[in-house]
This record gives sequence, C-alpha cells and structure tokens, in this order.
Amino acid sequence: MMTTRLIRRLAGMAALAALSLSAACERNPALSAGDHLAAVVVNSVDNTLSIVPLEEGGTARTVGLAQAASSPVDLAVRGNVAVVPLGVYPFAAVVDLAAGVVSYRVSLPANSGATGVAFVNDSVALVANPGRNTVSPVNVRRGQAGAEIAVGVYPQAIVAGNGATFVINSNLVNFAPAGPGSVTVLNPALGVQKTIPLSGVNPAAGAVLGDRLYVLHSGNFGQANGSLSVVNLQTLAEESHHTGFGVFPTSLEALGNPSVLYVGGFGYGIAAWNPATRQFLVPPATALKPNGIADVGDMTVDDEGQLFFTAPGNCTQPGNLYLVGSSGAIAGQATVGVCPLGVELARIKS
Amino acid sequence: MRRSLLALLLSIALPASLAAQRPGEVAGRVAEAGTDAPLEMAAVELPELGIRVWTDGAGRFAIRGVEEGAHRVRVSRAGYAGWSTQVRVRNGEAAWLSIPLARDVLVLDTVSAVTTVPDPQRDGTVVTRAAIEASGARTAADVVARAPGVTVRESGPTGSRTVSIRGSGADAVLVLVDGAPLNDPVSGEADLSAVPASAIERVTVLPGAHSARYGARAGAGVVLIETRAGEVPPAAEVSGGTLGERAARGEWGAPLGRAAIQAGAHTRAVDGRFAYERDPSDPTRVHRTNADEFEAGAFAALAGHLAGGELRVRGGWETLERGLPGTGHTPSPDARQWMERGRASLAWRRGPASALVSGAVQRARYADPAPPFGLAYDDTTRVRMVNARAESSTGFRRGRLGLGVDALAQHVEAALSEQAPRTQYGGGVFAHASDEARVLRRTFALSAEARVDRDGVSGNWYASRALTVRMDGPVRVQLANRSAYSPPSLGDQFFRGGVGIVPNPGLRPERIPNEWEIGASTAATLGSVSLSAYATAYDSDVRGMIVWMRRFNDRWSPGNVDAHRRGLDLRADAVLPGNGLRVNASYSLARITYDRPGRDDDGVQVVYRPRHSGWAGAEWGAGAWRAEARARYTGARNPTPTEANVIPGFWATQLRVARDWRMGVWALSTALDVDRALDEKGHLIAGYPEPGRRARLDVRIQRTQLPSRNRPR
Repeated sequence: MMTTRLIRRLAGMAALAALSLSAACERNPALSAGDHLAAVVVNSVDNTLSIVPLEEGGTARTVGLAQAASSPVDLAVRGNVAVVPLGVYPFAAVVDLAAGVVSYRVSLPANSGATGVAFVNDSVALVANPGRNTVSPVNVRRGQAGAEIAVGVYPQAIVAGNGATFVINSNLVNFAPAGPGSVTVLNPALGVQKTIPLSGVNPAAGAVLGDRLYVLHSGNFGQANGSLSVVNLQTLAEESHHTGFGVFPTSLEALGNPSVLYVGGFGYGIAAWNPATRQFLVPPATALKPNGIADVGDMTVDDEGQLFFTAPGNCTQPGNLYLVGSSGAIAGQATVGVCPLGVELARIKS
Repeated sequence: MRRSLLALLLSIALPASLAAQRPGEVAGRVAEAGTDAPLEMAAVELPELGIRVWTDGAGRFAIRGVEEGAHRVRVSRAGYAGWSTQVRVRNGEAAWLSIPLARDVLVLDTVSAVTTVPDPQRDGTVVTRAAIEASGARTAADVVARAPGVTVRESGPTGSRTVSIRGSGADAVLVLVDGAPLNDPVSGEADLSAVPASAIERVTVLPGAHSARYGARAGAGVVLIETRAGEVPPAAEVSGGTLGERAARGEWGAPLGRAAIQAGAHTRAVDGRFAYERDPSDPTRVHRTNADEFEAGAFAALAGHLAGGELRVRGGWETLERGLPGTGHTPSPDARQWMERGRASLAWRRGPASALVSGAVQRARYADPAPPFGLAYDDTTRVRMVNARAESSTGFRRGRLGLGVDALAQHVEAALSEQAPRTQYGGGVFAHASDEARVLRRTFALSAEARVDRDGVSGNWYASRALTVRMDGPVRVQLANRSAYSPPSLGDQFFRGGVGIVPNPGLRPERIPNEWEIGASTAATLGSVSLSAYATAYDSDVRGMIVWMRRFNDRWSPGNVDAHRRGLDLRADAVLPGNGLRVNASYSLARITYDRPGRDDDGVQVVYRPRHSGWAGAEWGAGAWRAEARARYTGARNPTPTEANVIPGFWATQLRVARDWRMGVWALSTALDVDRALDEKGHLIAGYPEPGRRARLDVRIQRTQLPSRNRPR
C-alpha cells in the first residue's frame, strides 16, 4: 500500500511516460532531422562509452576509451563531444559522439586520479584531479590541458550553472573523510571566487536548480549518514543542511519542472526530495526499486522528465540502462558495458 | 661498456683456433636420437684406459693423448640407453664420433610404450640443459616461454614473470621444482624469474588439466623444473649487458665415493634504467627508475645411492631485491620487493618407486612508503612449508598399476584478514593404471588416473580424473578426457582489505569438469632431414575462472566467471644434421571466452588472454660456432572484458651467436644474446613500458675433463 502511494507520488511529479527507450525520440519534436537523441553511458570496468540511441532504428555503439587500466566513473556531454576523466589513468578522453571515436586522450598531471568533469563552455571542460587537489581545464578542440587550478581537498565532482563552476571538494585523506567538505566557486575566467564550507561529510555529487546548488554527501562508507547541503548562489553560503539521506548515496539528478531531486546509489534505489518543501517525496527507507533493482550507478532526466538510470549490477557482467515508467516499473532497457556508472543524454548531430 | 662489447665481439669473430695439433684424439658430439638435441653431461669413457670425460653444453667432448690402436668407447647418460663402439685411433689424428643416444623408456614409470622420439603429447615439451644453455635463457621464464600454448606474463624487464597456459590465470598453473611447489602460498602464482636458468637441468611443460596426477592448482598445466644435481665439472661464467646487467656464477662438482657432490653460486644485478615515452597518448620522454633488480643464490647437491636406489639431496638459498616501478604513466618510485627463500629436498627413486620430502621457508616483503594511489604499505609474508610425496607402481601383463600419496603442511604469517587460516594441511591420494591392447594390428595404450584431494583452506574434497587412449604407429594419436580444479589463493580470498581492494572470501575454486583433448604427432626422415610435428586440440569449460576485476566504487576484487576454453597447439621441427641446421615453429590458438548465456558479449576473449601466439626459429651449428634466430608473436589482447580496447599483437625477435674454444682440458664459450633485436617495444600488459633492444654477452669457462682416480699415468 505504502509502495503504491509512493510510486504514484514519484510518477506524478516526474511525469514519466511509459515508453520504451527506442520510442523516446518520437516525443522530442525539437530535434531536427539530423539530430539523434542518445544516452551516453560510461562503463567503468570496460573502459568504454556506450552510445545508446533513444529512437527506433538506431544502432548502439561502443567506444573504447583506453587500453591501460583506467577507472572512468563520470562524463560530461556538450553537443557531439563527451569528456571522460579516466581515473587512475591520468588522462581525459575526448570523444566524438557522431563518429564514435576518441578524438584525443588529453594528458593530465601525474597522479591526477581524474574523476569529476563539467563543461565550462563549448571549448573547455574542467576536470577534477583529486590526487592533486586541483582542477585542469581541458580544451576539447585542441586536445590540450591548461594549467592546474588549486581548489580544496580531494575534488571529485564539478557542476556548472548560473554562470559559475562549482568544484565539490570531498576532503578525503587516505580515502577516508577527514572532515566536512567544501565547494570552490570558479568564475567564468576560472579564477577562484570563493570556497564555501559545507556541513556534510564526503560530498560526492551536486546539481544546480534555480538559484540553489544542491550538494549530496555520501557520508562514511557503511554508515547511514548521507546528507544534503543547500547552497544559496546569491550569498554563496550554505543555507541549510539536511540529514536522513541513508547509506552512502552517490548520485544526484535534478528535474526542473516540477522541481524534484532524485537521489540514488549502489543498493540504495531511488529516493526523491522536494527542494521547494525541503521534504522527502520518497525517503531512502522506502526508495523506489524498479522491478526490484536497487543498484543505481547514475541517473539523468530528459526534457520530458523521463528518468533514466544505470544499473551496474555486481560489475562482473554487462550492466543495463533503464527507463523508469510512470508506474515506477521499468519501461525500457538496453544492455551496456560492464559497470555502467555514469550517464548523460546527448543530442548528436550527424 | 660499448668498447668492451666491441672487444668481445671481435674475440668471437676471430677465426684462429686456440686448439693445438695433438697426437691421438677421440672427439665427437653426443645428441639425442631423433631430435639431434645436444646432450650435456653424457659420460664418455675409454674403459680399458680408465679415461672418462663429460660432454659440454653443446654435447661435445674430446679425449686427448690416446694411444694408437683400437679402443672401446662407452657413452652413458641418465635417462638414455647406453651406447658403445670401437674406434681406431692414429697418432696425430683425431677420430670423430657422432653419437646418438636413445631415450631410455625405463625412466617413464607410468607408460609402457617404447619410443626413441620424445612425444610432446605424452611427455610434454621437454627443454634439456643443453637447449637451455644454447638458448641464452636467463631465468626459468625464458625457458618455459618456448613451449606452445604458454604465455609468460611480465610487467617490465625486471619484474616478476608468471606463466599462463592455454589462457589460464597464473595461479592455475602448478610449478614444481624438484617436486616441491614453487607457487607462492599467498598469491598462488609462481614467479619464474626467481629461478635462474643456470640452476636448471631440465624443464617439462605439460599443458592441460592435470590435477588427476599432480593435484591442486594443475588446472591448466604443470611445469616441472628439475634442478642440476650430480657430478658437474668446475665452471665459471660472467655476463654483462645493457640496462646495467652484470652477472656471475660458478659451479663445482666432484665424485665422492659412489656419490657425486655439486655446489654453485650465482649473482645478478640489473640497473633497469631506460628512457621511454610516458604513454601512447603522451610522447613526453621520461626515464624509468626504481626498476633495478639484484639476486643471489647458492646451492649444494648430492647424488648417490641408498638402499638400492638413486638418492638426490639438494639445498639452496636465494635472495632477491627489486624495485616495483609501477606503470609508465603513474610510476611508483619507492615501491620495493625483498624475498629470501631456502629450499631443501630429499628424493629417492628405485625403479618405479619414488619418495620425496621437501621443505621451504620464504620471507617476502613488499613496501611502498609513498604510493601514487592508495595507502602506504609495508607487508611481510613468512611461509614455512613441508611437502611429502611417495608413489610406486607394479607391472601386470603389459600394463602397470600405480598408487601415490602426497601431503602438504604449511604455515603462513601474512597480511591477511582474520578469517584466513594460518596453518593448513592438505594432501591427496592418487592412482593410475595403464595397459596396452592390439586391435587391427595397431597398438593402443590406455591409461587412467584418478585422484582425491583435500583442500587445506576450505577442508573440502575434490576429485579429478584423466582417461587417455593412445594409438601408436607412424602417426601417434592420443585422445584424453580430464577434469581438474584449482583453488583460489589465500591472497585472493583473504588479503587484508584496503583502499581499492576488497577481499572475496566467497571465491570458489576454478573447475574444469570435462576437458577433451585430441592430438597427433609424428616423426619421419626425408633424406637426411629429420622431421617431427604435433598438433593438439582441446575443448573445455572453465567453471568459475578466477579473474581480477574492478568493481563498483573503483575497488578491485577477484571474482568467478564462467568461460569456454578451446584451442589448438601446433609445433613442427626439422633437423638437417649435415648442415647443422634446425628450424622449428609453433602456433597456438586459444579461444578463452566469457560464457554468459543470453548476453551479447558471449564470445568475448577473457582479459589479457592472447588468442593467437607462436614463434618461429632457426638454430645453426658448425664446428665451434652456434647461432640462433627466433621471433615470437604475442597476439591481440583485451585489457578489459570487451573488444573495444584491443591491444594489438606484437613480435619480438631474439638473436644469439656463440663460439666455443678449446684450451687443453678447458672449454671457453662466448655468446652474444640480443633480445628484441629489432628494438620492438611491444608489451603484454598495457602501461608497462619495455626498453626495446637488449644485449648481453656471456663468457663461460668449463673444465671438460673431471679428475679421475684411475687416469693413466
């Protein structure tokens, strides 16, 4: 009974439609004839990108990112270009999504640990180097990295919005939280504007919605101390800090209208939080587990408010990309690579 | 360095012979019948004169100062049938003998077929001492790499080197040194780079599932290393080469009553520095550091007779220190490995009965105070191990029936989780039977092996079997069906969990429930050319192959995956004795694919298992000269469980030129060995750079005649 009510609430606010992945493109009239909507998934164990067309007749493609042992977990997409930091392999792959090839592997500083990434503009993406407490601007047209910019301790996620770039510093020392995290605000010229202290531990993801930055804190591994910080982008200060986000959430996705924040993680399912009321719509304890699937690698929403998520499974066999239907059940799925941890949507121009 | 290399090269090329003309000499070469492989340490005697000498690494011997007249020459060597002839000696002339020794079937205690040509299907790939010396191999890894279906996994020129057979993991290959396991008790892998080639008498590689005979960890194959023992003439060798390599070793042997004693020592050091491009995506030239290696060892052995049987006692100590430089793009400049190991074994054999007791102590330390990723570590592992094995067989009609038992006790102090058993006892009981039958005027040999093992960690019992039917004739055909298992290593199950690493105590053993193997081999002579060839095809499923994988949250952990294992091994040899030429080639196809029913990726090659590999080589010898050229191919590999990041295959060439000199009772050998002669920089594992061309010069002096108590005055 409770589950049914929760599913209805989630379905109502997200306005999810029960369409398969292959049919999704039909409901995107803004796309020109040469545009193709695709989900771009980074498969962490495979070191690949899966480009999954969200329209009928499309063919999925797989792009190898690197031969050396890498650990990509995140990506940023703009137009036909995707940038994937390669983790322990100190490079960032710049992928031409239309051609399905790696255009450049951009060399980053040694021991970069390249993890988070966000586009600053059409030419430059910012890549986090948690191993060096810096970020590196990567010019995707030239395939070169610029000078490092010092930020906080262990930056592992980057969010762009409202004319600024926000580097989320996890403050991990020896891979364990050393204290609350922070956000470094960079101006459009990539100068450090301010560092905002946060109250949560191990911030891992962020999203800009309106004039607020929402930062999800994973907390300590194995402990139920996940939390969420709300940062006022006018005052550049933490406005509030909300606990009760359960055991180690890692993924945060924002839907603009109606406003909702989706929270997910491995074994976590999908919870929903209303930024307007600052209350849970679906709390972690009763998180949605579509068709029983609780392992959520990453989530994204399209213009129609449809929610997609990746399920890495046990990371030994190929995972899946799922579309959640209005009933809260799986409405479409596609097999991707092993351990899909990041997903973004792309409008690829042929 | 360059100047000294040039000088030694010139010394090799000098045509003048140091040997002086001498009256009355018997000289010659002893080789294995059928293969023409030179046989070292064959005893050549003139019994009436009380003279006995031993052949050198090229199978050559010379007995000088022989009186004119007819003399009986007798040649013997363990494992080969004796040979004798009459030779007429004239003053001022040398009588040359070319002596073929046939393998003695009595040493093969589980088979009854008589053959003079090694059968690779039955006997595996055998590399003799002479072939090891002729190849310029540095370590056991170089020796084993020449067997079809074998991939040596390495991480740079001075890193550890483990062996994979038919696409297995390194911990699914059992390596026995004089019957005692070399596999590390924690990792399960055998580092063949820690066994110097100079200490090896013979290596046998048996591909396929052999748990029914050898027990746990023989899921994909067995490597049998027999170290040198017995009477060895005094010898010394020095080597120098690129990467700052320098080495020295010496050995000495003497008769001791009815026994023979032998002792030796070696040391080798490599600086390991070279320049390389940081990465295929970053051509910045950087220097490889922390790639040095130092090793030293000493051994003593005694071979004699006890209770009517042959007794071998051997003990040795080895020490090794090496840098662990990490990947080329993210090096670890401070990581080090130290290892000390002591071994002792006592083996006794009388006819088909044999017994072995061996023990080993090992201390290994790995430390990195400032790793590029993860936490600093400093872990020491101490292992004490005792292994005992006894077996015997008896004949009935044309067949044999054998029984055996082995037991292992092991104590480990290591950086493992609390769940790990520190002391474990394991062992197995095995039986084998063989018989022959004549059907349609053909001889069929049948053999059956069965074994039950108790795993020392889990306490579980595992059964293995092998059934073989072989048809003899001009073309020998063999069909085998086997099962095997390979347990997870202690490290895989119980390593101390840390950043980036998650233990998997639920790991299951690798099981090979049903391996089919069919092969054919033949040997023939066309004119003066001796030809031999064999082909083997195999097909099996591997249930729960243990593969390290990166998991969620960027953590690595071993896991079980199901896989298909199908493939083909081919090898052909041609020997032209008149020209002193021998050419050979091998090719291996190993389809080791994920078994994921209903998934699109069923059929993808398992990570780092090259599907195609092989080599081709030519050896030439004339007079005092020997030369060898060899090219080895390592096929494309998947570094990840997809075909999207394929690493292309690569060739590596090896050249070796050697010349022997005679100086009275001493023989001087010089050899120049060039590895990756065409400066190939391909590497098996992505991210670990290779230096390209490497050269090494060996100079060895060896006494060719042992002191004899009844030499003529």
